[in-house]
Amino acid sequence: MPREKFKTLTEQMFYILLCLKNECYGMDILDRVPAMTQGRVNVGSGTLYNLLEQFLEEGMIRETKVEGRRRSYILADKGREMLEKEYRRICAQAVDYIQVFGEEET
Amino acid sequence: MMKETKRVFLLHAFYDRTGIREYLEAQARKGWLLDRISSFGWILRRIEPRELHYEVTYFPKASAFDPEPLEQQLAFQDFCEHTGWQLAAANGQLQIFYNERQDPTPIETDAVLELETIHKAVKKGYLPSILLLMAVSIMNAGLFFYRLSLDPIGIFSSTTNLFTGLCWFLSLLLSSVDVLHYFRWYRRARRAAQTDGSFVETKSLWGFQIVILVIMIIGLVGLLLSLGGNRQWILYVVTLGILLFGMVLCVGFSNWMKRRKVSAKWNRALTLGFSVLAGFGICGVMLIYVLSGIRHGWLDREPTEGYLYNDQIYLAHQEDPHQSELPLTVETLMGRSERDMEKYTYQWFVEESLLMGEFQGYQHSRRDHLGEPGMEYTMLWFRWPLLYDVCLKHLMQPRHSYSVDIYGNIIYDEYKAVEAAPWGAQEVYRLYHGDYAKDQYLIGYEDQIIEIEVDWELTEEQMTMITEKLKK
Repeated sequence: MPREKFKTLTEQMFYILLCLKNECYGMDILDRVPAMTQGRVNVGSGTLYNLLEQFLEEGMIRETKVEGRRRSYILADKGREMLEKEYRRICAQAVDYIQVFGEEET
Repeated sequence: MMKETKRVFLLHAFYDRTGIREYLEAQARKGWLLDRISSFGWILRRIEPRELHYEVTYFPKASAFDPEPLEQQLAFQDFCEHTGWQLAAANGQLQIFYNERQDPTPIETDAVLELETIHKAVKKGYLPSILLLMAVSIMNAGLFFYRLSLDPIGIFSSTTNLFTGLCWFLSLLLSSVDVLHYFRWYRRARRAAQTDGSFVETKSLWGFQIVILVIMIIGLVGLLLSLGGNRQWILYVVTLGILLFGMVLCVGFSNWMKRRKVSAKWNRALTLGFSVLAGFGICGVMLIYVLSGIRHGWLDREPTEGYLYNDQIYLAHQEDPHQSELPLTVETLMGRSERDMEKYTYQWFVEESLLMGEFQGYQHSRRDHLGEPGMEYTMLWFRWPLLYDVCLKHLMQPRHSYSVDIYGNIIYDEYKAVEAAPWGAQEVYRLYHGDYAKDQYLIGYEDQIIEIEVDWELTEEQMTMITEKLKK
Protein backbone atom coordinates (compact mmCIF):
# COMPACT_ATOMS: atom_id res chain seq x y z
CA MET A 1 0.00 0.00 0.00
CA PRO A 2 1.55 3.37 -0.94
CA ARG A 3 2.68 5.55 1.94
CA GLU A 4 1.21 9.06 2.21
CA LYS A 5 3.97 11.67 2.00
CA PHE A 6 5.52 12.23 5.46
CA LYS A 7 2.67 10.35 7.14
CA THR A 8 5.41 8.08 8.45
CA LEU A 9 9.07 8.91 8.15
CA THR A 10 11.65 6.68 6.57
CA GLU A 11 14.80 6.02 8.53
CA GLN A 12 16.70 8.55 6.41
CA MET A 13 14.05 11.25 6.96
CA PHE A 14 14.04 10.51 10.69
CA TYR A 15 17.80 10.91 11.11
CA ILE A 16 17.99 14.03 8.92
CA LEU A 17 15.38 15.73 11.11
CA LEU A 18 17.16 14.48 14.23
CA CYS A 19 20.41 16.09 13.03
CA LEU A 20 18.57 19.40 12.65
CA LYS A 21 17.57 19.63 16.31
CA ASN A 22 20.47 22.08 16.43
CA GLU A 23 21.46 24.40 13.60
CA CYS A 24 23.50 22.49 11.08
CA TYR A 25 24.89 22.90 7.54
CA GLY A 26 23.00 20.74 5.10
CA MET A 27 26.13 19.07 3.82
CA ASP A 28 27.32 18.13 7.32
CA ILE A 29 24.29 15.88 7.71
CA LEU A 30 25.98 13.51 5.24
CA ASP A 31 28.66 12.82 7.90
CA ARG A 32 26.51 13.12 11.01
CA VAL A 33 23.95 10.46 10.13
CA PRO A 34 26.44 7.59 9.64
CA ALA A 35 28.35 8.78 12.73
CA MET A 36 25.15 8.79 14.81
CA THR A 37 24.13 5.32 13.62
CA GLN A 38 27.60 3.69 13.59
CA GLY A 39 27.41 3.43 9.82
CA ARG A 40 24.05 1.66 9.85
CA VAL A 41 22.25 4.45 8.02
CA ASN A 42 23.69 6.36 5.08
CA VAL A 43 21.92 9.15 3.23
CA GLY A 44 22.76 9.71 -0.41
CA SER A 45 23.82 13.25 -1.28
CA GLY A 46 21.04 13.55 -3.89
CA THR A 47 18.44 12.16 -1.50
CA LEU A 48 19.55 14.57 1.23
CA TYR A 49 19.40 17.54 -1.12
CA ASN A 50 15.88 16.66 -2.28
CA LEU A 51 14.61 15.89 1.21
CA LEU A 52 15.91 19.20 2.57
CA GLU A 53 14.05 20.97 -0.26
CA GLN A 54 10.86 19.07 0.55
CA PHE A 55 11.15 19.62 4.32
CA LEU A 56 11.63 23.33 3.61
CA GLU A 57 8.53 23.42 1.40
CA GLU A 58 6.46 21.61 4.02
CA GLY A 59 7.66 23.97 6.76
CA MET A 60 9.28 21.14 8.72
CA ILE A 61 12.63 22.92 8.77
CA ARG A 62 13.72 26.48 8.22
CA GLU A 63 16.82 28.10 6.76
CA THR A 64 18.96 29.91 9.30
CA LYS A 65 22.06 30.98 7.37
CA VAL A 66 23.08 31.36 3.73
CA GLU A 67 26.81 31.66 2.97
CA GLY A 68 27.19 31.49 -0.79
CA ARG A 69 25.95 28.00 -1.65
CA ARG A 70 26.29 26.72 1.93
CA ARG A 71 23.02 26.82 3.82
CA SER A 72 22.23 25.85 7.37
CA TYR A 73 18.89 24.67 8.68
CA ILE A 74 17.14 23.99 11.95
CA LEU A 75 14.10 21.98 12.89
CA ALA A 76 10.81 23.92 12.86
CA ASP A 77 7.84 23.22 15.12
CA LYS A 78 6.08 21.15 12.49
CA GLY A 79 9.23 19.08 11.99
CA ARG A 80 9.59 18.59 15.73
CA GLU A 81 5.96 17.42 15.93
CA MET A 82 6.43 14.93 13.10
CA LEU A 83 9.65 13.64 14.65
CA GLU A 84 7.91 13.15 17.98
CA LYS A 85 4.98 11.43 16.34
CA GLU A 86 7.39 9.07 14.58
CA TYR A 87 9.27 8.44 17.82
CA ARG A 88 6.04 7.51 19.61
CA ARG A 89 5.11 5.20 16.75
CA ILE A 90 8.49 3.43 16.93
CA CYS A 91 8.22 3.17 20.72
CA ALA A 92 4.75 1.69 20.43
CA GLN A 93 6.13 -0.84 18.00
CA ALA A 94 8.98 -1.65 20.40
CA VAL A 95 6.50 -2.17 23.26
CA ASP A 96 4.36 -4.44 21.11
CA TYR A 97 7.47 -6.40 20.16
CA ILE A 98 8.51 -6.88 23.80
CA GLN A 99 4.97 -7.89 24.73
CA VAL A 100 5.00 -10.64 22.11
CA PHE A 101 8.58 -11.90 22.19
CA GLY A 102 9.31 -10.77 25.72
CA GLU A 103 6.59 -13.16 27.05
CA GLU A 104 8.07 -16.08 25.11
CA GLU A 105 11.50 -15.44 26.49
CA THR A 106 10.22 -15.26 30.03
CA MET B 1 49.23 7.81 -32.21
CA MET B 2 46.21 6.94 -30.04
CA LYS B 3 43.23 9.26 -30.13
CA GLU B 4 42.75 11.29 -26.96
CA THR B 5 39.00 11.74 -27.37
CA LYS B 6 36.21 9.94 -29.12
CA ARG B 7 32.60 10.79 -29.96
CA VAL B 8 29.83 8.26 -29.30
CA PHE B 9 26.14 8.25 -30.05
CA LEU B 10 24.21 6.45 -27.36
CA LEU B 11 20.90 4.83 -28.19
CA HIS B 12 19.84 4.73 -24.54
CA ALA B 13 16.64 6.53 -23.62
CA PHE B 14 16.88 9.66 -21.46
CA TYR B 15 15.51 7.82 -18.39
CA ASP B 16 17.59 4.67 -18.88
CA ARG B 17 19.94 5.40 -16.00
CA THR B 18 20.92 1.75 -15.58
CA GLY B 19 21.92 1.30 -19.21
CA ILE B 20 23.86 4.57 -19.34
CA ARG B 21 25.65 3.79 -16.09
CA GLU B 22 26.63 0.29 -17.21
CA TYR B 23 27.90 1.62 -20.54
CA LEU B 24 30.05 4.33 -18.94
CA GLU B 25 31.48 1.95 -16.34
CA ALA B 26 32.44 -0.45 -19.11
CA GLN B 27 34.09 2.43 -20.99
CA ALA B 28 36.07 3.40 -17.87
CA ARG B 29 37.43 -0.15 -17.68
CA LYS B 30 38.61 0.30 -21.27
CA GLY B 31 40.23 3.66 -20.47
CA TRP B 32 37.56 6.22 -21.48
CA LEU B 33 36.01 8.86 -19.23
CA LEU B 34 32.91 10.88 -20.08
CA ASP B 35 34.08 14.43 -20.73
CA ARG B 36 30.99 16.27 -22.01
CA ILE B 37 27.61 15.83 -23.63
CA SER B 38 27.06 17.83 -26.81
CA SER B 39 24.12 18.13 -29.17
CA PHE B 40 26.02 15.89 -31.60
CA GLY B 41 27.09 13.02 -29.42
CA TRP B 42 28.89 12.29 -26.15
CA ILE B 43 32.61 13.01 -25.93
CA LEU B 44 34.85 10.64 -23.97
CA ARG B 45 38.49 11.29 -23.22
CA ARG B 46 41.28 8.84 -22.67
CA ILE B 47 42.34 7.90 -19.11
CA GLU B 48 44.14 5.00 -17.49
CA PRO B 49 41.71 2.07 -17.45
CA ARG B 50 40.15 1.80 -14.01
CA GLU B 51 37.08 0.81 -12.08
CA LEU B 52 34.79 3.77 -11.67
CA HIS B 53 31.31 4.00 -10.25
CA TYR B 54 28.94 6.13 -12.29
CA GLU B 55 25.58 7.56 -11.30
CA VAL B 56 23.05 9.14 -13.60
CA THR B 57 20.89 11.73 -11.83
CA TYR B 58 18.21 14.15 -12.97
CA PHE B 59 17.66 17.75 -11.98
CA PRO B 60 14.13 18.67 -13.17
CA LYS B 61 14.55 22.42 -12.61
CA ALA B 62 17.44 22.59 -15.09
CA SER B 63 16.99 23.18 -18.80
CA ALA B 64 19.10 22.66 -21.90
CA PHE B 65 18.63 26.41 -22.51
CA ASP B 66 20.19 27.52 -19.21
CA PRO B 67 23.13 29.87 -19.88
CA GLU B 68 24.97 28.34 -16.96
CA PRO B 69 24.21 25.81 -14.20
CA LEU B 70 21.57 26.99 -11.72
CA GLU B 71 22.65 27.90 -8.19
CA GLN B 72 20.58 24.98 -6.87
CA GLN B 73 22.28 22.67 -9.37
CA LEU B 74 25.70 23.79 -8.17
CA ALA B 75 24.57 23.25 -4.58
CA PHE B 76 23.43 19.73 -5.53
CA GLN B 77 26.83 19.10 -7.12
CA ASP B 78 28.56 20.35 -3.93
CA PHE B 79 26.57 17.80 -1.91
CA CYS B 80 27.63 15.05 -4.29
CA GLU B 81 31.27 16.13 -4.22
CA HIS B 82 31.22 15.86 -0.42
CA THR B 83 30.82 12.08 -0.76
CA GLY B 84 33.35 11.70 -3.57
CA TRP B 85 31.02 12.08 -6.58
CA GLN B 86 32.64 14.20 -9.30
CA LEU B 87 30.53 15.73 -12.05
CA ALA B 88 31.54 14.12 -15.36
CA ALA B 89 29.07 15.93 -17.61
CA ALA B 90 25.68 17.60 -17.54
CA ASN B 91 23.19 18.47 -20.25
CA GLY B 92 19.87 20.01 -19.38
CA GLN B 93 18.25 17.89 -16.70
CA LEU B 94 20.74 15.07 -17.03
CA GLN B 95 23.74 15.04 -14.69
CA ILE B 96 26.30 12.25 -14.65
CA PHE B 97 28.73 11.72 -11.79
CA TYR B 98 31.57 9.32 -11.24
CA ASN B 99 33.30 8.17 -8.07
CA GLU B 100 36.70 6.57 -7.63
CA ARG B 101 36.01 5.20 -4.14
CA GLN B 102 35.66 1.47 -3.67
CA ASP B 103 32.17 1.33 -2.23
CA PRO B 104 30.67 4.83 -2.35
CA THR B 105 27.30 5.71 -0.87
CA PRO B 106 24.98 6.07 -3.87
CA ILE B 107 23.74 9.56 -4.66
CA GLU B 108 20.13 8.34 -4.43
CA THR B 109 19.23 6.15 -1.47
CA ASP B 110 15.44 6.63 -1.46
CA ALA B 111 13.70 4.83 -4.32
CA VAL B 112 10.41 6.73 -3.98
CA LEU B 113 12.17 10.08 -4.11
CA GLU B 114 14.43 9.03 -6.96
CA LEU B 115 11.47 7.87 -9.01
CA GLU B 116 9.62 11.14 -8.38
CA THR B 117 12.65 13.07 -9.59
CA ILE B 118 13.04 10.98 -12.74
CA HIS B 119 9.35 11.27 -13.55
CA LYS B 120 9.40 15.06 -13.09
CA ALA B 121 12.40 15.34 -15.44
CA VAL B 122 10.83 13.01 -18.01
CA LYS B 123 7.50 14.90 -17.94
CA LYS B 124 9.27 18.21 -18.48
CA GLY B 125 11.38 17.49 -21.53
CA TYR B 126 11.62 13.92 -22.78
CA LEU B 127 7.96 12.91 -22.78
CA PRO B 128 6.63 16.01 -24.62
CA SER B 129 9.26 15.46 -27.37
CA ILE B 130 8.43 11.79 -27.80
CA LEU B 131 4.69 12.47 -27.77
CA LEU B 132 5.17 15.19 -30.38
CA LEU B 133 7.19 12.78 -32.53
CA MET B 134 4.44 10.19 -32.09
CA ALA B 135 1.77 12.71 -33.12
CA VAL B 136 3.74 13.81 -36.20
CA SER B 137 4.38 10.17 -37.11
CA ILE B 138 0.70 9.28 -36.73
CA MET B 139 -0.22 12.23 -38.96
CA ASN B 140 2.33 11.36 -41.65
CA ALA B 141 1.67 7.64 -41.51
CA GLY B 142 -2.03 8.48 -41.82
CA LEU B 143 -1.31 10.72 -44.80
CA PHE B 144 0.75 7.95 -46.35
CA PHE B 145 -2.11 5.46 -46.06
CA TYR B 146 -4.52 8.08 -47.41
CA ARG B 147 -2.24 8.62 -50.44
CA LEU B 148 -2.01 4.85 -50.77
CA SER B 149 -5.79 4.61 -50.98
CA LEU B 150 -5.85 7.31 -53.67
CA ASP B 151 -2.89 6.12 -55.73
CA PRO B 152 -1.68 2.61 -54.85
CA ILE B 153 0.21 2.32 -58.13
CA GLY B 154 2.21 5.48 -57.54
CA ILE B 155 3.07 4.41 -54.01
CA PHE B 156 3.86 0.72 -54.54
CA SER B 157 5.97 1.30 -57.65
CA SER B 158 8.07 4.05 -56.11
CA THR B 159 10.99 3.13 -53.84
CA THR B 160 11.05 6.74 -52.61
CA ASN B 161 7.41 6.64 -51.54
CA LEU B 162 7.78 3.21 -49.96
CA PHE B 163 10.90 4.38 -48.08
CA THR B 164 9.09 7.49 -46.84
CA GLY B 165 6.16 5.36 -45.65
CA LEU B 166 8.58 2.93 -44.01
CA CYS B 167 10.34 5.78 -42.16
CA TRP B 168 7.12 7.21 -40.76
CA PHE B 169 5.87 3.77 -39.78
CA LEU B 170 9.16 2.95 -38.03
CA SER B 171 9.16 6.36 -36.34
CA LEU B 172 5.64 5.71 -35.04
CA LEU B 173 6.62 2.24 -33.88
CA LEU B 174 9.74 3.49 -32.12
CA SER B 175 8.05 6.39 -30.33
CA SER B 176 5.02 4.30 -29.29
CA VAL B 177 7.18 1.48 -27.95
CA ASP B 178 9.36 4.01 -26.13
CA VAL B 179 6.38 5.66 -24.41
CA LEU B 180 4.77 2.33 -23.49
CA HIS B 181 8.11 0.99 -22.27
CA TYR B 182 8.63 4.02 -20.05
CA PHE B 183 5.20 3.89 -18.46
CA ARG B 184 5.39 0.14 -17.97
CA TRP B 185 8.69 0.54 -16.14
CA TYR B 186 7.44 3.56 -14.14
CA ARG B 187 4.36 1.67 -12.92
CA ARG B 188 6.42 -1.32 -11.82
CA ALA B 189 9.08 0.88 -10.23
CA ARG B 190 6.52 2.97 -8.34
CA ARG B 191 4.80 -0.13 -6.98
CA ALA B 192 8.12 -1.63 -5.84
CA ALA B 193 9.38 1.64 -4.33
CA GLN B 194 6.20 2.20 -2.37
CA THR B 195 5.90 -1.41 -1.24
CA ASP B 196 9.43 -2.36 -0.21
CA GLY B 197 11.57 0.67 -1.02
CA SER B 198 13.48 -1.08 -3.81
CA PHE B 199 14.46 0.58 -7.10
CA VAL B 200 13.57 -1.32 -10.26
CA GLU B 201 16.44 -0.93 -12.72
CA THR B 202 15.61 0.44 -16.15
CA LYS B 203 15.88 -1.80 -19.18
CA SER B 204 17.31 -0.62 -22.48
CA LEU B 205 15.47 -0.78 -25.74
CA TRP B 206 18.69 -0.47 -27.68
CA GLY B 207 18.37 -3.94 -29.21
CA PHE B 208 15.00 -2.95 -30.67
CA GLN B 209 16.39 0.44 -31.70
CA ILE B 210 19.32 -1.20 -33.51
CA VAL B 211 16.87 -3.36 -35.47
CA ILE B 212 14.89 -0.25 -36.46
CA LEU B 213 18.08 1.53 -37.45
CA VAL B 214 19.27 -1.41 -39.53
CA ILE B 215 15.90 -1.59 -41.33
CA MET B 216 16.11 2.14 -42.08
CA ILE B 217 19.66 1.84 -43.38
CA ILE B 218 18.70 -1.10 -45.59
CA GLY B 219 15.76 0.94 -46.88
CA LEU B 220 18.02 3.92 -47.57
CA VAL B 221 20.60 1.80 -49.39
CA GLY B 222 17.76 0.24 -51.41
CA LEU B 223 16.49 3.71 -52.26
CA LEU B 224 19.91 4.98 -53.38
CA LEU B 225 20.58 1.85 -55.44
CA SER B 226 17.18 2.17 -57.13
CA LEU B 227 18.16 5.61 -58.41
CA GLY B 228 20.90 4.06 -60.57
CA GLY B 229 22.07 6.61 -63.11
CA ASN B 230 19.22 8.92 -62.23
CA ARG B 231 20.47 12.39 -61.30
CA GLN B 232 17.78 12.75 -58.64
CA TRP B 233 20.21 11.36 -56.06
CA ILE B 234 21.63 14.90 -56.10
CA LEU B 235 18.29 16.12 -54.73
CA TYR B 236 18.40 13.62 -51.86
CA VAL B 237 21.98 14.43 -50.92
CA VAL B 238 21.38 18.18 -51.08
CA THR B 239 18.15 17.83 -49.04
CA LEU B 240 19.96 15.85 -46.36
CA GLY B 241 22.78 18.36 -46.35
CA ILE B 242 20.37 21.28 -45.99
CA LEU B 243 18.51 19.55 -43.14
CA LEU B 244 21.76 18.88 -41.28
CA PHE B 245 22.82 22.46 -41.89
CA GLY B 246 19.48 23.64 -40.48
CA MET B 247 19.98 21.54 -37.34
CA VAL B 248 23.51 22.84 -36.84
CA LEU B 249 22.25 26.39 -37.37
CA CYS B 250 19.51 26.09 -34.73
CA VAL B 251 21.78 24.40 -32.18
CA GLY B 252 24.44 27.02 -32.90
CA PHE B 253 21.92 29.81 -32.37
CA SER B 254 20.85 28.37 -29.00
CA ASN B 255 24.49 27.96 -27.90
CA TRP B 256 25.24 31.52 -28.98
CA MET B 257 22.31 32.75 -26.83
CA LYS B 258 23.73 30.77 -23.90
CA ARG B 259 27.15 32.38 -24.34
CA ARG B 260 25.44 35.78 -24.23
CA LYS B 261 23.87 34.69 -20.90
CA VAL B 262 20.31 35.02 -22.20
CA SER B 263 17.83 33.48 -19.74
CA ALA B 264 16.49 29.97 -20.44
CA LYS B 265 12.96 31.31 -20.98
CA TRP B 266 14.06 33.79 -23.66
CA ASN B 267 16.53 31.37 -25.20
CA ARG B 268 13.80 28.75 -25.63
CA ALA B 269 11.36 31.24 -27.15
CA LEU B 270 13.91 32.85 -29.48
CA THR B 271 15.39 29.52 -30.56
CA LEU B 272 11.89 28.27 -31.36
CA GLY B 273 11.19 31.42 -33.37
CA PHE B 274 14.54 31.17 -35.13
CA SER B 275 13.92 27.50 -35.93
CA VAL B 276 10.54 28.30 -37.48
CA LEU B 277 12.05 31.11 -39.58
CA ALA B 278 15.03 28.96 -40.53
CA GLY B 279 12.61 26.18 -41.49
CA PHE B 280 10.69 28.49 -43.81
CA GLY B 281 13.94 29.88 -45.18
CA ILE B 282 15.31 26.41 -45.88
CA CYS B 283 12.06 25.33 -47.55
CA GLY B 284 12.23 28.48 -49.69
CA VAL B 285 15.82 27.78 -50.72
CA MET B 286 14.97 24.17 -51.54
CA LEU B 287 11.97 25.25 -53.60
CA ILE B 288 14.14 27.68 -55.59
CA TYR B 289 16.75 24.97 -56.07
CA VAL B 290 14.21 22.39 -57.21
CA LEU B 291 12.48 24.83 -59.58
CA SER B 292 15.85 25.86 -61.04
CA GLY B 293 16.76 22.22 -61.35
CA ILE B 294 13.57 21.49 -63.23
CA ARG B 295 13.96 24.57 -65.46
CA HIS B 296 17.57 23.77 -66.34
CA GLY B 297 17.05 20.03 -66.52
CA TRP B 298 19.57 19.35 -63.73
CA LEU B 299 17.22 16.85 -62.13
CA ASP B 300 16.02 15.25 -65.33
CA ARG B 301 16.61 11.57 -65.58
CA GLU B 302 18.36 12.26 -68.87
CA PRO B 303 18.89 15.46 -70.85
CA THR B 304 15.72 16.35 -72.73
CA GLU B 305 15.46 17.60 -76.26
CA GLY B 306 13.20 20.44 -77.25
CA TYR B 307 11.91 22.06 -80.42
CA LEU B 308 10.98 25.64 -81.26
CA TYR B 309 7.42 26.52 -82.28
CA ASN B 310 5.89 30.03 -82.29
CA ASP B 311 8.90 31.35 -80.34
CA GLN B 312 8.42 28.80 -77.55
CA ILE B 313 10.46 25.70 -76.71
CA TYR B 314 8.46 22.48 -76.35
CA LEU B 315 9.55 19.04 -75.18
CA ALA B 316 10.49 16.78 -78.07
CA HIS B 317 12.09 13.84 -76.39
CA GLN B 318 12.61 12.60 -72.83
CA GLU B 319 13.76 9.14 -71.92
CA ASP B 320 14.47 7.14 -68.79
CA PRO B 321 17.92 5.50 -68.30
CA HIS B 322 16.21 2.28 -67.14
CA GLN B 323 14.71 1.77 -70.61
CA SER B 324 16.60 2.60 -73.79
CA GLU B 325 13.65 2.72 -76.18
CA LEU B 326 9.87 3.01 -76.25
CA PRO B 327 8.80 -0.63 -76.61
CA LEU B 328 5.78 0.34 -78.72
CA THR B 329 5.26 3.28 -81.06
CA VAL B 330 2.44 4.50 -83.31
CA GLU B 331 4.74 3.88 -86.29
CA THR B 332 5.11 0.19 -85.32
CA LEU B 333 1.35 -0.25 -85.06
CA MET B 334 0.93 1.50 -88.43
CA GLY B 335 3.48 -0.85 -90.02
CA ARG B 336 6.34 1.63 -90.33
CA SER B 337 9.83 0.81 -89.01
CA GLU B 338 11.37 4.27 -88.45
CA ARG B 339 10.39 6.74 -85.75
CA ASP B 340 8.93 9.97 -87.13
CA MET B 341 10.87 12.48 -84.99
CA GLU B 342 9.65 15.41 -87.13
CA LYS B 343 6.01 14.76 -86.24
CA TYR B 344 6.06 13.28 -82.75
CA THR B 345 7.29 13.87 -79.23
CA TYR B 346 8.33 10.77 -77.29
CA GLN B 347 8.50 10.38 -73.51
CA TRP B 348 8.83 7.45 -71.23
CA PHE B 349 9.35 6.93 -67.50
CA VAL B 350 10.09 3.88 -65.42
CA GLU B 351 9.45 3.54 -61.72
CA GLU B 352 10.31 0.29 -60.01
CA SER B 353 10.38 -0.96 -56.46
CA LEU B 354 10.77 -4.32 -54.71
CA LEU B 355 7.02 -4.81 -55.02
CA MET B 356 6.15 -3.76 -58.56
CA GLY B 357 7.14 -1.68 -61.56
CA GLU B 358 5.42 0.95 -63.68
CA PHE B 359 6.34 2.02 -67.19
CA GLN B 360 4.63 5.02 -68.77
CA GLY B 361 5.05 5.76 -72.43
CA TYR B 362 3.71 8.81 -74.28
CA GLN B 363 3.72 9.60 -77.95
CA HIS B 364 1.91 12.74 -79.12
CA SER B 365 2.00 14.87 -82.24
CA ARG B 366 4.21 17.96 -82.12
CA ARG B 367 2.50 21.32 -82.12
CA ASP B 368 3.74 21.93 -85.64
CA HIS B 369 2.13 18.63 -86.78
CA LEU B 370 -1.15 18.58 -84.88
CA GLY B 371 -3.65 15.92 -85.89
CA GLU B 372 -1.27 12.96 -86.03
CA PRO B 373 -2.69 9.98 -84.09
CA GLY B 374 -1.12 9.66 -80.64
CA MET B 375 -0.84 7.03 -77.98
CA GLU B 376 -0.26 6.65 -74.23
CA TYR B 377 0.23 3.42 -72.33
CA THR B 378 1.10 2.22 -68.85
CA MET B 379 2.56 -1.17 -68.10
CA LEU B 380 2.47 -2.56 -64.57
CA TRP B 381 4.33 -5.69 -63.54
CA PHE B 382 4.07 -7.31 -60.10
CA ARG B 383 6.56 -9.07 -57.89
CA TRP B 384 3.95 -9.37 -55.19
CA PRO B 385 0.89 -11.07 -56.80
CA LEU B 386 -1.54 -9.55 -54.27
CA LEU B 387 -0.95 -6.14 -55.84
CA TYR B 388 -2.45 -7.26 -59.16
CA ASP B 389 -5.99 -7.21 -57.73
CA VAL B 390 -5.34 -4.02 -55.75
CA CYS B 391 -4.09 -2.13 -58.82
CA LEU B 392 -6.74 -3.54 -61.15
CA LYS B 393 -9.48 -2.49 -58.74
CA HIS B 394 -7.96 0.99 -58.56
CA LEU B 395 -7.77 1.33 -62.37
CA MET B 396 -11.34 0.09 -62.76
CA GLN B 397 -12.76 2.87 -60.58
CA PRO B 398 -15.14 5.24 -62.39
CA ARG B 399 -13.18 8.11 -63.87
CA HIS B 400 -13.43 11.73 -62.80
CA SER B 401 -14.41 12.79 -66.30
CA TYR B 402 -18.19 12.81 -66.45
CA SER B 403 -21.10 14.49 -68.18
CA VAL B 404 -24.75 15.02 -67.37
CA ASP B 405 -27.46 13.67 -69.69
CA ILE B 406 -30.78 15.38 -70.58
CA TYR B 407 -32.42 13.71 -67.57
CA GLY B 408 -29.83 15.12 -65.18
CA ASN B 409 -28.08 11.75 -64.66
CA ILE B 410 -24.31 11.87 -64.23
CA ILE B 411 -22.46 9.65 -66.70
CA TYR B 412 -18.94 8.62 -65.72
CA ASP B 413 -16.22 6.98 -67.77
CA GLU B 414 -16.26 3.33 -66.75
CA TYR B 415 -14.47 0.18 -67.80
CA LYS B 416 -16.60 -2.67 -69.09
CA ALA B 417 -15.47 -6.23 -69.87
CA VAL B 418 -14.90 -7.04 -73.57
CA GLU B 419 -13.61 -10.01 -75.56
CA ALA B 420 -10.12 -10.95 -74.33
CA ALA B 421 -9.18 -13.41 -77.11
CA PRO B 422 -7.78 -10.85 -79.64
CA TRP B 423 -5.41 -9.66 -76.95
CA GLY B 424 -4.34 -13.11 -75.79
CA ALA B 425 -5.02 -11.94 -72.25
CA GLN B 426 -6.97 -13.31 -69.30
CA GLU B 427 -9.25 -10.28 -69.01
CA VAL B 428 -9.77 -7.10 -71.04
CA TYR B 429 -11.84 -4.04 -70.31
CA ARG B 430 -12.76 -1.11 -72.56
CA LEU B 431 -13.54 2.40 -71.35
CA TYR B 432 -17.08 3.57 -72.03
CA HIS B 433 -18.75 6.91 -71.58
CA GLY B 434 -22.33 5.76 -71.24
CA ASP B 435 -22.84 3.68 -74.37
CA TYR B 436 -20.04 5.37 -76.26
CA ALA B 437 -16.89 3.18 -76.49
CA LYS B 438 -13.61 5.06 -76.14
CA ASP B 439 -10.30 3.82 -77.53
CA GLN B 440 -8.87 3.01 -74.14
CA TYR B 441 -8.28 -0.52 -72.85
CA LEU B 442 -7.26 -2.25 -69.67
CA ILE B 443 -5.61 -5.60 -70.34
CA GLY B 444 -4.90 -8.10 -67.57
CA TYR B 445 -2.27 -10.84 -67.88
CA GLU B 446 -1.08 -13.21 -65.17
CA ASP B 447 1.32 -10.83 -63.43
CA GLN B 448 0.94 -7.73 -65.57
CA ILE B 449 -1.59 -5.06 -66.39
CA ILE B 450 -1.45 -2.78 -69.42
CA GLU B 451 -3.56 0.32 -69.88
CA ILE B 452 -3.46 1.81 -73.34
CA GLU B 453 -5.15 4.80 -74.96
CA VAL B 454 -4.94 5.48 -78.69
CA ASP B 455 -6.47 8.05 -81.06
CA TRP B 456 -7.98 5.50 -83.47
CA GLU B 457 -10.05 2.29 -83.49
CA LEU B 458 -7.62 -0.62 -83.00
CA THR B 459 -7.69 -3.62 -85.34
CA GLU B 460 -7.34 -7.17 -84.04
CA GLU B 461 -3.91 -7.30 -85.65
CA GLN B 462 -2.84 -4.24 -83.71
CA MET B 463 -4.23 -5.71 -80.49
CA THR B 464 -2.05 -8.80 -81.00
CA MET B 465 0.97 -6.58 -81.77
CA ILE B 466 0.41 -4.58 -78.57
CA THR B 467 0.48 -7.78 -76.52
CA GLU B 468 3.64 -8.97 -78.33
CA LYS B 469 5.48 -5.70 -77.72
CA LEU B 470 4.32 -4.86 -74.21
CA LYS B 471 3.81 -8.17 -72.43
CA LYS B 472 6.97 -9.06 -70.48
